[in-house]
Amino acid sequence: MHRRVFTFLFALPLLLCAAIWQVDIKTDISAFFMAGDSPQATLLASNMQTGELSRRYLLSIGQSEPAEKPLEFAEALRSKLAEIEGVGRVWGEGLNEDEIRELISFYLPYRHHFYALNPASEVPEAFSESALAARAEAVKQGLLGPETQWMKSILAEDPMFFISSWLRRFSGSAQHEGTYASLVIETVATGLDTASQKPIKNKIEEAFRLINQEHGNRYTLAMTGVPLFAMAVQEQVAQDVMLVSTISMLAMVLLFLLLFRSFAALTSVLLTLLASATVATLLTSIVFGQIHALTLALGSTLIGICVDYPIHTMVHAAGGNEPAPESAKRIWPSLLLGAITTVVGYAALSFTGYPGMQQIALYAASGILTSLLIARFILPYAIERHISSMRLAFSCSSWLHFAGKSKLKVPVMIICALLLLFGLSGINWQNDLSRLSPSLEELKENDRQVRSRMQSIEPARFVLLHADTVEEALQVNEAAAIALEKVKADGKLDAYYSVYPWAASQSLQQQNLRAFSEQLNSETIARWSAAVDKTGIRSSSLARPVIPDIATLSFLDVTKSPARRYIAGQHVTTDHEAILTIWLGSHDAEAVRGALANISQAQYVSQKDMINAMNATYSSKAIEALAYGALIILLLLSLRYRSATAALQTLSPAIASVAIVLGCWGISGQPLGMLNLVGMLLAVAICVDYGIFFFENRAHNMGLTYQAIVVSALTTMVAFSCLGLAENPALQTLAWTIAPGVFLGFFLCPLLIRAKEETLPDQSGSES
Amino acid sequence: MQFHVKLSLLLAFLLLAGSATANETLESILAIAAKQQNTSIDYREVRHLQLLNGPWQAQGRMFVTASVFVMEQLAPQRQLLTANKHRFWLYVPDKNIRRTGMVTTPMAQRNFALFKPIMHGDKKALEKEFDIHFTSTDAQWLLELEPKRANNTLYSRISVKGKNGHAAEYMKAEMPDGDFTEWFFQQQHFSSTTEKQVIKLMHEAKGK
Repeated sequence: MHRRVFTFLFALPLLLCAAIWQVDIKTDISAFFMAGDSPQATLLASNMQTGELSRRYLLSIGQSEPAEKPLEFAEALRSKLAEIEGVGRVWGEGLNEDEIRELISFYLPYRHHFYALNPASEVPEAFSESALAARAEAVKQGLLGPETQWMKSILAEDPMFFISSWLRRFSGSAQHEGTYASLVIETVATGLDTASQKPIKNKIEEAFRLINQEHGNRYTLAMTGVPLFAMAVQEQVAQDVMLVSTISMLAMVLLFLLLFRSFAALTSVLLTLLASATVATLLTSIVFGQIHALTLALGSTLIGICVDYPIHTMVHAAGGNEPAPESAKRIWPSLLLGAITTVVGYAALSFTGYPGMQQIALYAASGILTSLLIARFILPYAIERHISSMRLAFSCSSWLHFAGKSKLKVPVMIICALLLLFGLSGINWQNDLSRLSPSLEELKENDRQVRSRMQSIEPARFVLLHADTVEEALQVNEAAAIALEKVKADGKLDAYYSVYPWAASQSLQQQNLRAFSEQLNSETIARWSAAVDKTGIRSSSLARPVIPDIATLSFLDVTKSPARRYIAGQHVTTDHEAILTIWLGSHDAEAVRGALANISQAQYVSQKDMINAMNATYSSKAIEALAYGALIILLLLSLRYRSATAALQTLSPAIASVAIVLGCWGISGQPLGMLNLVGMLLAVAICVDYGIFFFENRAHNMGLTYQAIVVSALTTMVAFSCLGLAENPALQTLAWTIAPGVFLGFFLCPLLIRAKEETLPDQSGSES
Repeated sequence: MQFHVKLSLLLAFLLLAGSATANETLESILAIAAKQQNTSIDYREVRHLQLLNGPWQAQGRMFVTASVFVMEQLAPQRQLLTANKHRFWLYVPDKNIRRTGMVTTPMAQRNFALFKPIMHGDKKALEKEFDIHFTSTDAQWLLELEPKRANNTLYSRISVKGKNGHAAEYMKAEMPDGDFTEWFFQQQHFSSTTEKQVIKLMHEAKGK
C-alpha cells in the first residue's frame, strides 16, 4: 500500500472522531430566520425569536357542541398547566378582578402623571363645570353600584376620581366574545429551544387529556405559538436530512455499480466522499461553533459535486494508457480550475444575504477542495491495482460523432437566444418569501384559527416606532397615539394597543404634573365639592385632593410591574436603540398611514410589504451574486486561457443552459423567486466544470473526457434530484433548478465547444 | 369586584329563605338549604353610606333556580345581575354596561366563602370562616355570621332574620367602615311563567 493511501486511511478515522467530538448540529430555525437589513428589522426579528412572544403557547379550548365558553374547564386546566416544570406563568383571557385591583393599586399614585396625552388642553378641561359634574356623577354611580367598597378605597386616595381617565383608556382591552376559552402559557425557555419545549408540549397535551377525561372528553384543544412552529420545522429538517442523505447515498451507490460495475471503484469514491464530508463538517463546526442541519441537507448535494473529481481520476486512469498517478497529473489543471469555479459559485451564495448561506458556502468550499486534493494526490495510488475493473460500461461516441460533425453550434445558440427572448417577457416573478419557509400549511391554518378566536388584533399589520432612546420612543408613541385617536374617532380604526396608558414618557408625565399643579387649587377644589354635593354625596367626607409627591414612573419600572404582561412583545430596547410597536385592530390602512405621515419615526408596517421588501433585497443581491459569480468565473477562465473567446466558449454550455431553463420557465409561466436565481448560480458553477474538462480535453481523448463528464453530470443530477424529495420547499426549488441546468450543461458541451486537441473515439466504442 | 359580595349574600339568603323556622337548628337549615330549588322574591335594598347625605333605596325582584340566580333591580334604575354555577353577568341597560366574570376567580372565591358552604350544607366550612350565632324565639329567628379573619373580608357582620315559622324577611350586611346595607324580602309564588321569565332575563344579561 502506498504511504499516501496508508496515511489517508490512518487519518480518516481520526478525522471522523474529531468531527464527531467537535460537531454541534443545530436544528432550530433561528439561523435561517429572515433578519432583514435595517437595525429595526434585526431587533424585531431577534425579539420575535427569543422575546416573550416567542415563549408563548396559545391554547384555544372548545366544546364538541358549541355552547358557552368552557371557562370552568379552562380554569381547571390552567391550574394544572401552571404546575408543569418549565412553565413560567399561565393566564386566561381578559382580566380578573384581582388583576384589575393589582393594576389599579399600581397606577393610582400616578393618576396625575398618566392623566392625558394632551395635558395642556385636557387637564384644564378636567376642571370644567361639566367635567366635574360628570365625574361626581360617576363617583355616585360607583358608590351605589355593585362596587361600593372598591370605589370607597379609590376615593380615599383619589377623591377627585382622576384615575377614571386611565381606567377609560385601559378598559379598551376587553375580552374576545365567542364560544372558545383561551389560555396563554409562557415558558421559561425560548420558543426556539426545542429540546426544552418538547417535554413541555407533551405535558400540556397530557394535562389536557387527563382533565378532559375527568370532564367526559367533551372538550377540544387547539394550540399555536412559536415553540410549536420551531418543533415542526426542526422535525421537518431532521426528516429531510435523513431522507435526502439516505436516498442520495443509495442512488449514488446504485449508479456507481451500474456504471463502473466495480466495488473497488465504489469503495474508493465512498471513502473520498466520507473524507470530504468529514473535513467540511469539522471546518464548518470550528469556524461557526456549530453546524445547522439544513447545511448538512444542502451539503449532502455536494456528494454529487465532490464525486466529480474522483470520477475524472478513475475514468481517465481506467481508460487511458498511462499509470493512474500520471493521468491524474495530466488532468489536474482542469480539475483545479473546475473546482475553483465551483467554489466561486458557492462562495457567491454567501453574498446573497440569505441567512445561513455563509455556512453552506464554507461547507461546500472545504468539501470540494478536500475531494479535489484526494482525487489528485491519494486516489490514483489507491486505485492503481484495480484499474482494469473500473472501465466504464458505456460509450457516448455516437453523440460525440453527431455533435462533432454537425454544424449546430450557431442554430443552438440562436434557439437559446430566442427561447430566452420569448421567455423573458413571460417570466412570472414572485416576491413571495413564504416559499422559502417550510410548508407547514396545517400549522399555519391552525394558527390563524386560534388567533382569530382570541383577539381582534390584525397580526400582520402594525405600527413600528423607532428612536435612539426609550424616552424618545415613548414620545413618538404618544404622538402616534394622538394621531390614531383621530382615526379611531373617524371610524376607520376599531382599536389600537400601544404601550400608553401602561407607560408614558417622562416628558408627558412632567407636563401632566405641571398642568395639574396649575389647576388644582382651593377654587377648583371648592367647585368640585359643590359638584359632589349636588349628587347627594357628602363632600366633607371626602379626603382633600393632593398631587402625590412621587417621582415619575420609568419605563424600566413598568416592565417590572404587574403591567409588564400587557406590553410584552411591544418593546425592544438596547443601549443605542428603542423600538415600540402599536398593534392595530381592524382598520383602513390608508387612513392609518395618512395619520402617521408626519411622524417620521412612526412607520406603518404591513408584514407582507416588509417581507416583499426583504425579498426584493434578497433578489437583487442574488442577481448581483449571480452576475459577480459569472464575472469572476469568466475572469478566471480568461486568465487561464489568456483569451476571452476561449473563456466564453468554455462558458457557453452553462450560459445556454441558463438561457434554456429561464426561457422555458418564462414560457410555462412557472413562478420564479430568489431561490431559482441561487440555483442558477450553482448550476452555472457546476456546468462550467464540464466546459473546462471538455475544452481542455487533457487526456487528448474526447471519448474518455466526455465519458467522465457524463458520469459526473449523472451523479450531480441524481444528488440534486434527491434533494427534490425533501419537504422543505427551498430545497425542492434548488433541486428542480439545478438538475435540469446540469443536464443541459453537459449535453450541450459537444455542440458548443470545440476541444483543443480533439480525438474522437471510433463509433464502435472501443474506449469502453 | 364587590358585586361578588352582593351575589354571595343574596344567594346565601335565598337558600335560607324558604327553610328556617323557629323549631329548626342550623344543621337542619343548612341541609334544607342545600336542597332548595326554585324561589321568587321581591326585595327592597337600603344602603347606608357615610359618604351619602342620606340612605339610598332600590327595589326589584330575585329568582333562584337549580342552575341560575337572577336579580332584577327595577328602580331607581333597571339593572340585571345574574349568575350560573360558573359565571356571573352584570347588565345596566340604560348605560349599556356589561360585565362578566368567573365565580371561580380568587376574589370571587373569597367572596363566596359564605355562599358555598350554605349551598353545600357544609356547616364545618361555614364555621371555618365565620363565628355563627343562631337564635330562635317564639316570635322570630336570627342568624348572625361574623367573619373570623377580619382583614380579609368585605363585611364585618351579616344578620338574617325572619318571623317564626316563616322564611327570612330581612338581612343586614355591615361593612368594617360602618357602612351597611339592609334588605327587605317578600316571598312570591314561583310559577312556570316565572321560569320562562328567568330564562329571558338570563339571556338579556348575557346579551343574547
